[in-house]
Amino acid sequence: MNRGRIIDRAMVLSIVLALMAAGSSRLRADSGTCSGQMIALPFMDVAANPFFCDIAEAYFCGLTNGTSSSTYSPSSIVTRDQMAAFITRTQDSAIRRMNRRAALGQWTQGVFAGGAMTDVDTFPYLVKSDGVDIWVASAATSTVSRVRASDGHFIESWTGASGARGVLVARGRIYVTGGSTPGHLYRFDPSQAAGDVVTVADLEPYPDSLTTDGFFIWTACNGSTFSNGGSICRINPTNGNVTKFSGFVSPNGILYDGSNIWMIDLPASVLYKLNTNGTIAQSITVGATPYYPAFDGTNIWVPNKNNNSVTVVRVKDSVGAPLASAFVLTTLTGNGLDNPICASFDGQRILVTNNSGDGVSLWKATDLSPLGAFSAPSGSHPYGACFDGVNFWITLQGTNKLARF
Amino acid sequence: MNHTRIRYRAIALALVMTVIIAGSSRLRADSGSCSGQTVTLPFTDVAGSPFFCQIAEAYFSGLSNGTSATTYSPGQNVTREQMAAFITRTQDQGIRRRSYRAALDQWWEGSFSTGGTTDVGNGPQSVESDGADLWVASFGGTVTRVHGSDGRALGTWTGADMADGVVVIRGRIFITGETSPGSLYRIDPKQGAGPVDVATNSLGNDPRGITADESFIWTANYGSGSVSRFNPASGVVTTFSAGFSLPEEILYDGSHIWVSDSGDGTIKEVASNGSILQTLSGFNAPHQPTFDGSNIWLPDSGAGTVTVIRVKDSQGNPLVQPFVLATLTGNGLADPYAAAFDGERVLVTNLGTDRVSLWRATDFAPLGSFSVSSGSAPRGLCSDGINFWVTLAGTSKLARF
Repeated sequence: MNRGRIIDRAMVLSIVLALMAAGSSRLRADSGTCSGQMIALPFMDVAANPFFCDIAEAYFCGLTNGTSSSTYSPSSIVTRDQMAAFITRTQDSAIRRMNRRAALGQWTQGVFAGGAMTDVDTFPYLVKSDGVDIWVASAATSTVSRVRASDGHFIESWTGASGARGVLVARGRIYVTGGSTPGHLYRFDPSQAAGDVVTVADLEPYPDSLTTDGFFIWTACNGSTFSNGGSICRINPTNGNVTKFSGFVSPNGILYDGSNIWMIDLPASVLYKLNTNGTIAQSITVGATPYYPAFDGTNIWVPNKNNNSVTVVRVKDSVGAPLASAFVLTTLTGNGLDNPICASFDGQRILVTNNSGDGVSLWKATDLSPLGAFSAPSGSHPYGACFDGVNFWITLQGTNKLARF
Repeated sequence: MNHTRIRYRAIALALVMTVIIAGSSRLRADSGSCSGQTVTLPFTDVAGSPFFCQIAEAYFSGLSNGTSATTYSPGQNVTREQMAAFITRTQDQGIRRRSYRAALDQWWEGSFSTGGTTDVGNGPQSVESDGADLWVASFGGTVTRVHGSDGRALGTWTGADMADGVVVIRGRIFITGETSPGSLYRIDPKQGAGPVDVATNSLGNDPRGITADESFIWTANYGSGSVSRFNPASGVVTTFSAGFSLPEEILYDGSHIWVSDSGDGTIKEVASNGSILQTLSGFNAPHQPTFDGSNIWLPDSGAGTVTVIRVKDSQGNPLVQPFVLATLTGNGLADPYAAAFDGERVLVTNLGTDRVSLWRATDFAPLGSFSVSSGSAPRGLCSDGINFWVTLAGTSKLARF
């Protein structure tokens, strides 16, 4: 018997032993009873564990894979880096499973289709959903179009909203900004038959987007020259009283994060945090020519039109309380960004419209990972965006359409 | 060179070194590639970690801030107290981000406004949502259907004498009528508005609350001190009297029926055969509770409190021994009547003081109280996934919050 043969036999023996061990470990997979049914896991170290059923759930729904294909190591200590994996998987799984698109079996990221576009009034700007219908402000026709989200049916137009630009659903009413010098805040009752809007208040020149803190309506006003004299208006919706906060260059985007009003000053490339009395609490430099931001529960996403970037600003702490000092978390580039204008959050993802790029860019909101860029028809010039619980809706200024994504 | 000078120089040197270290650690922030893009974190101890991208997500989405401005300490063990912080942040973040309000960009807590009210029938009691429309039962004998998105009244059903409780189940709307014997009305929402159907008029006297489990409609009958179980397939009514005094409201938590009883100041857990499994006592005037998936929130108008009762275990199974978890006071509570849960928060109406009180459901943090117009008497309420809707018994309106 030569040496080579001995080695061969030893190898064969070890392979056989390894296979036997593998086979037996498969047989030895642990079982337990959870909710009255017998459960078998691939792990061999969790039998009779008081947390057997929790371990089973963590494995079944993809939160953990164990420490090897056959071990879970129930008594091992969790390190902070493993914990990061556990909690982010838990967060993402809950968000993925609980969103309305999942309940409707819609697992595509979204798509633009000609059949999913609705003709709206000329030169649509910003757009908002009340959960059932979509409201589109059209500047050239001074109207607000109502489109049914479930089937894209154009329902009606409200008239008389001169230069309609921004739209907000709040307090059982639809609020609209429009006008030049002076600007106007309009309102109408969507439960009534369509007709003329009502003027709530005269505003500073060229009001743009608007938001509410639950009571006051806040508007960003560009100012008549768009290069200075811009301001913020805070409107009491019950009496129409307007409080003006000046000293800005040309505000355009504005949002409320549950604690503070945040405002974009476009030429200054600054995101301002405002106190409720209109004074500036903090100013944060973002990219060039920022437009309409979105809040995701933790961070504000600011599209920077002339930089082809998105600045992500951390504004809330880990328990959802406002940070004393907000800061730039990161700046995103690439992912098809091409003159980005408007950001929108759907509970899971951030969508940004690319005005020159004729498309949208999409990110996963929790880890800021790019999900791709999607093309709208050439020359469509996407502008405003909102989410209705199922789809994003985007105004196409170049073709006067509202597109479902 | 004197001593002081040496000390100053030493301090200056230390400051310079601190600045250099701080500057260099900023420069040394770790990078990695996640989903094809380069990601830079402020931490200097996570480069090459197999969990780099998960650490990045935990940082970006606000779940973790690291152990210092520049360290994450990836190999450090997690203690149970840190674990509590991690899992509650994860839970709350998931709830906050996936709420329907977040998707609609509505980050304010809610507000009442004249524009957010709809005229309904005389003396509105309870309201429930079918997901799109609200159904309001008014004691004057009508049921009003209100469109949730725009608040438009879509139709009024009549003949619902002394209508009180509402439940949406089996493609129908069921309403209690507080008559003696008690009535159960039924509406097919596909049909045009008209008179309600009478499903039965042999419930126990004065039924107020109503709920449904997988098989039956259940009512709490205030007048006869009983609970009735209606079989919607056969129309058979079974009424259970043993152990009930003045039942007010009734709910189903996915496992058992719960009945609040103002006669003996209790809430009772009831099995499907009508027998009482548990009685929690010591309440003054308990009214309309709500269930949040783990706990029942029970407003007690006599005591001016909301008691939170743990009824499910950590896995969502019914507890053998439910227990009082906390008793909430303050936050505008005065004469609290009914509670509702929207997936994230619990809202309670204060009937006599024209206010509602709001809490975060996971940690019971008070989110404030909000006033309704004077004399409006906020009574029943529900959530439709976006807004809470509150019946104003004093002004016969339905208010959006």
